[in-house]
This record gives sequence, structure tokens and C-alpha cells, in this order.
Amino acid sequence: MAQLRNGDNAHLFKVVHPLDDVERDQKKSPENLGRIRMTPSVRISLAILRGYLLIMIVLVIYRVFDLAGAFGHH
Amino acid sequence: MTEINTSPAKGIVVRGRWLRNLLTYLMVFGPGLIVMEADNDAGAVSTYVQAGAQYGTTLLWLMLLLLPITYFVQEMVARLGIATGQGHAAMIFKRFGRWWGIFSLFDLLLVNFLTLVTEFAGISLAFSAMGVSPYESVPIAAGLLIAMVMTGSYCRWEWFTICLCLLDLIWFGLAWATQTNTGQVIRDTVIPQVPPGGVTPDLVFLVIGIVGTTIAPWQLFFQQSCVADKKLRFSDLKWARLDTFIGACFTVLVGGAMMLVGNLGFQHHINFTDPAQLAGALVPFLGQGGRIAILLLMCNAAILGATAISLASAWAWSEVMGWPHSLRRSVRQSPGFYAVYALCVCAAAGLVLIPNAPLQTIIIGVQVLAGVILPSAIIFLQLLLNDRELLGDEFVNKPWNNVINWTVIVVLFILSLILAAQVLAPELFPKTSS
Repeated sequence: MAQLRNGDNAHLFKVVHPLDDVERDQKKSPENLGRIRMTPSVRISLAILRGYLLIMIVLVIYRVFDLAGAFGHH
Repeated sequence: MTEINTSPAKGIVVRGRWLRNLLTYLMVFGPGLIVMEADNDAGAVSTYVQAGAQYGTTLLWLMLLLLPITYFVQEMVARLGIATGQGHAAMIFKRFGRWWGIFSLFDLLLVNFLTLVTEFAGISLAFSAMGVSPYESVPIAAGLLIAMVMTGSYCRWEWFTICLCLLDLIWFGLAWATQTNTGQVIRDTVIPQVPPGGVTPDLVFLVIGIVGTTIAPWQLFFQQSCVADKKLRFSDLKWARLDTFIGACFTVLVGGAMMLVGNLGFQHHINFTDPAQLAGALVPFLGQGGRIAILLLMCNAAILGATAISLASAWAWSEVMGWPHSLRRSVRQSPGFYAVYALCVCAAAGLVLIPNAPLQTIIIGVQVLAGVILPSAIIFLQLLLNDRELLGDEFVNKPWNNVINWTVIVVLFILSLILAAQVLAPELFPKTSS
């Protein structure tokens, strides 16, 4: 999106579609950064996520044993 | 006429800021509307109509509550996509390592595939109600889905998909035709209430179903990749936010309209097992036109959902594999990307055509896997949006963003856990009334 400024054209603007724009932003690239820094909040979040996934796995195993009749409900 | 910001790019010259803003918005517009409206897929039609049929208009307030939640989640995705120009799957791989990357990717691909099967089941169901055999409707739908992405033009795909989204405006006509009391609709939308009968397990799981249907894991991956494919610029962020907000409003309004159609079944005590059956039962009130409209809108919802879900899978897989992955490229230039898309579509369509396919097991699988992947995907999103090293001060979350997002994440964790526990260990819960 560019602005044209010159005399009578002070209020003229050139609008360019993102796909046609040749002026590219310098995007924030993770290429040279490596892994995310393990701050306390990152560490705690990933620990909670692991715990959550563990609970889900236990539930799935429980369901498999239940369907196999291991708990004698059926 | 001299250009200060010299750009040999194509463009349109307009007079005045207002026209410039409008035109820029129209050029940026697309990913936000598509991701939101594609979420009103076959499963969503079924859930919203069921909510209306079971509880009338008393759950409309939930849609209003979900509006800011869905907007805030998707705004983060759009911001991350614009800032990095890369997809969500690639970002998880690069910042959280191979283990979390592979976990997220395979979980996504699996839940997407199973959801895709339910989309084709919806198409099969709706066309069967119109007397068309699934052996005709499903392959034709699969062919259309493949053809619509293989034009080698992002813009062609986007405009076609936006047209499909706008077809959902017909839901408003159907909602209007139900002649539901406007005052009642407004009151039930703005005043949260527990439906008559109190908080039952049925109600809890329907509410979870509505939340799960409004915020789906594939949406995070889809919108970020879509924004990256469209090459949105930093300066486009405010318009991408507006696009996302308008998309969120539209999808919530369409969801509300679906509830009002279901409410007609509630008012006339109509029992049904799927929206196609309800469409037939509503003929005395909406006419044959209404029946056909509901059935075709079911198909439209399934097609929209199927293209977005398949693209989310194809983008994610190709990003991680390092393959060319853009709708701007031809099939010859991005063979792997299009092959993944076509494979997802064909496999899901083929599975639906197998006699006695375990569709019920697949639906349960979708619920459980979505419960696993949604909270984890949102955690990664939240952590990435707090990654100051990557995003800098310009794009990183503000403190108020974090308060809202962590609240949303905690609620989603609890709801997902309850849903998964109910599906996997139903005997731990009180018996439902039905």
C-alpha cells in the first residue's frame, strides 16, 4: 500500500494487493533462533501440557480395558 | 505524478483515505471470514440445530459469549502469520523441537482426517434425503473439492470459497421464516440463563459440543498458513483483525440462525436424529423450498469445512517437509502439497462409501482427539505469541491479551477434559435423562 504525494496528487493513493506487492516486509524468522527460551512460564506450560496428555492417555487405556471387560461391568 | 514510495507493483490508484482503506480492506479480506465460516461445517449444523431443538432459544447467549473467545484466539493466529510469514506447524517444529512438532502434526492430521470423514458423511446424508445416491454425490463432491484448489491461483480459490461462505446468508432467511419472536431472541441472546430442567449431563455435553464446534484445532493451522500464503504485510494487520472480527460475527450469527431453525422443531415437538430428517419434518412450516435449502446448506457447510480442513493438513505437512506449499503454485510446481490435499479428500470420501463404515466410532474419535489437540495447540500459540525473542515488541502479546488468553485456555482445558472423560469413561458420570 503506497501513497502518492506530489502537488495535485496529494490525496491520491496507490493500493496494491498483498500478492502483487514487491516491497516485502522483513518477516520475523525463527531460522537462526533455535529453540524457544525455557522461561518459567514456558516450562510450567509444557509441564501442564504433559500432565494433561498423561491424563488423556490414562483415560484411553481405561476405556480399552473397560471394553475388554477387565473391570467386570459387562 | 511521482511516487515517493516507489513500487513497480501492480495496483489501483484511488482518491482519498477512505477509499484507500476500503480497497485495502477488500484486498486483505478473506482468510478471517473463510476460517470462521468453514467452522460452521456439517458437524456444526448438526450441533446447533440439535441445541435449538432440545433447548429452544435458551442457549443463544452462548453464541454471544463465544464471539470474543473465537475472535481473540484467531486474532493471535493472524498476528503470528503476518509477523512470521510461516505456518503454525512449521513454527512449532522450529521453536519447540521435533518431539512436539511431530506430536502436533500427526495429531492434527488424524483429527482432520476423521473430521473430513464426517463432512462426507454429511454430504452423503443430505443428498440421500434428496434422492441422490451417495455413490454419485460423494465422488462428485470430492472432485469439486479437488478442482477448486488446483487452479494455481490463490485468488480464484479465495473468491470461490468466499462465495460459498456467503451462501450461508440463506440461513438468515430460514431463521426469519421460522417467525420466532424477536424480543425473545434478543432477550435469550443477551441474558445468560440455564434452560428449564436445570444443569443436566445432556446440557453440559451439548454446551461443550457447541464450544468445541466453534473453536476447532484445524482453524489455528489453517488461518496462519492462509495468511502466510496470501503474503499479508505488517501494515495489513489491522485489516486482518477486522476480517477476523467480521468473520467471527458472521459465523456466530449463522450459528444462531441454525439454532432458530432447530427451535422450530422444539416448538412443534419434532423428534429427529439428524438435520436432514428435521428438514423433512419442517416442510409443513417452511415448505419444500425450506427443506431443499436446509439440505443444500448442509452440503455447502460440509464442502466449506472439507476444503479448509484438507488445506490445513496439506499446508501443515508440506511446511514441515519443506515442500513448496502454495495455492499460487500449479500442481506441477507443488506436487506434494496438492497430493496430500487430494489424498485426504479421496481417502475420506472412499471411507464413507464403504458399507457399514464405523462412522459412530469416527465421531467419538474426533471428539477425543479434538480434546487432545485443541488445548495443546492453543498452549503453543500462546507461548509463541509471548516469544519476544521471535516477535519483538511489535507483535508480542500485551498483558491484557495474556489475561484473556490464559482464561480461555484454562476453560478449554477443563471442557476438553470433561468431554474426553465423558466419551471414554461414561460410567463415571450420572446417567443422562434420555
